[in-house]
Amino acid sequence: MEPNPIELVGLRKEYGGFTAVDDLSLAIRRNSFTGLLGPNGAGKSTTLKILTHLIRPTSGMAFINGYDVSENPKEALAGVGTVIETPEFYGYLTPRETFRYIGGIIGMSPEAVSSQTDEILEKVRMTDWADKKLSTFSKGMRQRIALGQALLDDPSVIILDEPTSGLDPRGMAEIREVLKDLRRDTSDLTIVMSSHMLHEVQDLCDRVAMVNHGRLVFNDDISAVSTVAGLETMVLKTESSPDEAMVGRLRSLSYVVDVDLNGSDVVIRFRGSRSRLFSDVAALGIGACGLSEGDSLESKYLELIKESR
Amino acid sequence: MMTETPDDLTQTYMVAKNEVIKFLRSRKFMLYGLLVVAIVALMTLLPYALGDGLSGSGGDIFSGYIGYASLLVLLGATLFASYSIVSEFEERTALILFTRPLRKSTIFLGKFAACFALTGVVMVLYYAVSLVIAFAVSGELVTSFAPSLVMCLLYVFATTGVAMLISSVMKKGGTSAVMTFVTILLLISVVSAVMSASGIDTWFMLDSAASSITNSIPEYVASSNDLLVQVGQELGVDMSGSMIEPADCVASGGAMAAWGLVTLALAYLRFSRREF
Repeated sequence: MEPNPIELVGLRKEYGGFTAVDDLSLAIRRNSFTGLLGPNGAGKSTTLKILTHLIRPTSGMAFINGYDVSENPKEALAGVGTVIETPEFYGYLTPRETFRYIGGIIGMSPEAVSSQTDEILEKVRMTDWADKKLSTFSKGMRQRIALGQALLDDPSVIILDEPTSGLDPRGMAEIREVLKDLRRDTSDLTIVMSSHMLHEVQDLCDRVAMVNHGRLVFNDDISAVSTVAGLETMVLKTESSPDEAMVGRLRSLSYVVDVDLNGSDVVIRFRGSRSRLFSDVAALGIGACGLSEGDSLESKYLELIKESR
Repeated sequence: MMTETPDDLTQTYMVAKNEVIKFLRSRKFMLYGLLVVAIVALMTLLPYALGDGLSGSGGDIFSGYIGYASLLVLLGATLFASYSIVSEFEERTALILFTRPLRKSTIFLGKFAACFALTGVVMVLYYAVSLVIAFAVSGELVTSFAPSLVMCLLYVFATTGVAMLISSVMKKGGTSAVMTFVTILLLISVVSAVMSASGIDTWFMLDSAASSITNSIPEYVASSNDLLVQVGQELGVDMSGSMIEPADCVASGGAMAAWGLVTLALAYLRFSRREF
């Protein structure tokens, strides 16, 4: 049986007395696009740095395509494209020269690099900058080149650590489009991407793994997020400003798990059917004027982070 | 279909080639080149500007130039090798290179090869130019240069090792460069001087071993000792204790090779454990 493209087994990383990754085990399915979510300091970047051989785990193992990254980095990282944080490039090289260097390191012939370079630069919208020195590039431009070099030689695994970090909104959207195109056009491609942006993960990923305090707290299909444990989120709008009394009345409903005030909105997390909630909210006589679907990923994320605090 | 990753030797060559390009396109290399040219120009033209011109045997003229060889080697180590490792971390280029399918040993060897080759080639050219000038002025072909050149290249090896060790520990390239220069020029010399004062033969110290670059040239030893005798006679002082001994190339060469090997091994150990 083919191994999972990425597998973490009891991974642990300590810095002095601080545990950044704590017994983390996670299997990434082939051809999935997994979003790695978690608050600052949750251990996302540390995990990805272990996976890309930038740091060694204190204990446990990280495998890529069946190879232990710490023991066999050359074999493990073959066919893997990475963008970790915002990398810097050799400023004295141009993007074309950089691709030639990286391409040579991974075993591409000069002809293969040349033919892919124009295509990739077009994809990340950097064609006009192909022969300019990288030392003159802005952070956003370097991030595009970083994504470009990760695409060299059509990798089967791509590891991205906040790939849209530092980009302006248009740049972010363009990078997301590149990633969507990749998913659509490539048959054998597994992507792991850490991100702070829940909507980005919701937009791109089909799997979500959430970590907090270095531990895995959730790992499932993104479609399962909204229905996991039967929990749903609805946002209630009322004619008058919501108050604590109204929140109390909503909480009194037996199947309502939590009610929060979010500005003029009332966020209701509940188990059961929506129709029951609709009729009960109407019956409570709290001046409801709208009930819409809430952000289930955000809701789930906050719930899990709260639980594992 | 996945491309086959090249063997370690091919990857070492690629890393070394990129390092050489990095240095050749940098201001540091321009500065280094200017310094070498300035030394050759001053040594050659200044005597003529002052009226005397270059005189003496081919060996005397040649050894005059080679007197600056160890300083040029030190500058090479300071400008290139001292930045080689630390720059990957300081400039965050490690995030691109280290995440690729190649071993840390490959990266290390590639960087070492580039630093050694660059300074080594400059020194070979410096020797060649010195030989040509000595021949042009004296009409004599200095044939005794080979041991000195070998000692010089061993000194390049040793100083590259020291510089890469410092580079593997430091967090800033500038600090690494200053520490390399100070360590080789000052700290090691201070230790040697203190040991000598305590009656210890310091043949194994890097600065003592490096003196073989000039002391392996017979003409240099002879003319230096002649000068010492002449000065001693003028001052009425016995200078026999200060006479220069011809270099023991095996001992000095062995010492420099050991300095290079030990410091490179320590540098690699530190580099391979260094995390981003």
